[in-house]
Amino acid sequence: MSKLDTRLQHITGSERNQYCHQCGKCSSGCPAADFFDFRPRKIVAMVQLGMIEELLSSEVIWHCAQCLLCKERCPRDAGPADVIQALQNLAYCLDVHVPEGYPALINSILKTGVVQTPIKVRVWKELPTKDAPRREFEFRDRLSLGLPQLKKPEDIQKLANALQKVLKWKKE
Amino acid sequence: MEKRVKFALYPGCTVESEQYAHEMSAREVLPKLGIQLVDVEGFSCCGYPLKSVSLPAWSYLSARNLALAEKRGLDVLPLCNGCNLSFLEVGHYLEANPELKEKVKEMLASEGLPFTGNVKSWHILQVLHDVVGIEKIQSVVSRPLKGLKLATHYGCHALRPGEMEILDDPEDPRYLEELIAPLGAKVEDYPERLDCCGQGLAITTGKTALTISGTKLKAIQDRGFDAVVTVCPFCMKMLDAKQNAIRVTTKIDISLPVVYYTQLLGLAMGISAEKLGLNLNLSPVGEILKKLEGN
Repeated sequence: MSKLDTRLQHITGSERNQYCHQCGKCSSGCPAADFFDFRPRKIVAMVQLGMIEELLSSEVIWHCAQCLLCKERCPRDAGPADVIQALQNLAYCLDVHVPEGYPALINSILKTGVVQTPIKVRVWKELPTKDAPRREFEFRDRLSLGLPQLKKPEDIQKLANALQKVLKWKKE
Repeated sequence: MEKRVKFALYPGCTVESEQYAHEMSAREVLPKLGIQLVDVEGFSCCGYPLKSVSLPAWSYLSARNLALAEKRGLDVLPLCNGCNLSFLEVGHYLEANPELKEKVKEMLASEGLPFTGNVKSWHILQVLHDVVGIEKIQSVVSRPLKGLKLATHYGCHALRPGEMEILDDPEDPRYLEELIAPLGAKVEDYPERLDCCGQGLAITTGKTALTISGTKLKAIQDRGFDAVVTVCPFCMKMLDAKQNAIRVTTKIDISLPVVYYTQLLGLAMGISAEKLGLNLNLSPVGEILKKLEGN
């Protein structure tokens, strides 16, 4: 077994992907398969054949919506969605290709503890209808909508330091 | 299982930063049904968005929030399918990865947050269906939603993975249908009922996500439904907020009201549309009220 195989197995925490007998139930229900050359069955087959490097360097592993239908319907409990997620984790660990949205997400959590801090939203003066889908509106925030201010982590630096440490765990 | 009536409300990043209507309607209806909601200081992101890049980072963030609730002796009530799934899965994931579990526990302990994994996370439909109960809900309906034909959209992570036993049968769930029936509206099955909204693809490929959402909305619209009912803020961001983007980008012609279940329940309880945040929805929800006024 190659080093990459071992690392992948370490992330999934099981050898279940070896149970796959290529029935194709996963690909037949996959919502992404309608739009991309994306087949969970093929990805699991490539993992079984040790073609992990090819998968990591391709964008295909990022086309999974994590709807978990493949995991639910797999008659062998091979968990295609888990295998794909482990491949994504491995790509991040090895600094291969990661969609640009993820570093931004991580930065936001490191800075604020959350994905996004509260924004002002559009509030219609009258409810939109099919004839008038865009009515007059004003922008309002949580407070003006009667929602309480939520107290976020007090010492954000403490959380950021911890998270930064955790993000490195699998990189060592 | 012991039935709690007091929960730590965990709105989750999407609800507390922009999907305010879910929080407004939940805070309106749940206390009137005997559910006490407590705001806990210091909650952060549930970690779910980081699952794809770092399972350890996800498990640390998820366990950290549970530890905060545990300190207050409360179970958690998230307003998001993804947050709820995070909290349900993290204990199992750490059990299966003992080395990681020790490291996470150690880290949380150093922050004064002991983590035992004894806190339970409740899906909002589970609280409404199993804790409040259908009879109680029936008893608070003062303005039956007669004449509405509704389509349900659970969202993938209210159903799967089935091994988490989030609601009932993941391949044929009934909780939402059973919760709509006492409100007086008609709810019907349709072939695309359990299809994904596509949101999971939004971070990598926006147009595909819009096409998946648009395809589902079109199917619902063509079957003559008056509105779609959901419980997940991510699905809501696609199905309700992106209708204009869907029309422009994919040329799929849709215009269909989409509401949170708690908004619908609130209307049936006689609560004003404004208090339920209906004027924050971006889909043509005025159609629902027009239909009800015609009763």
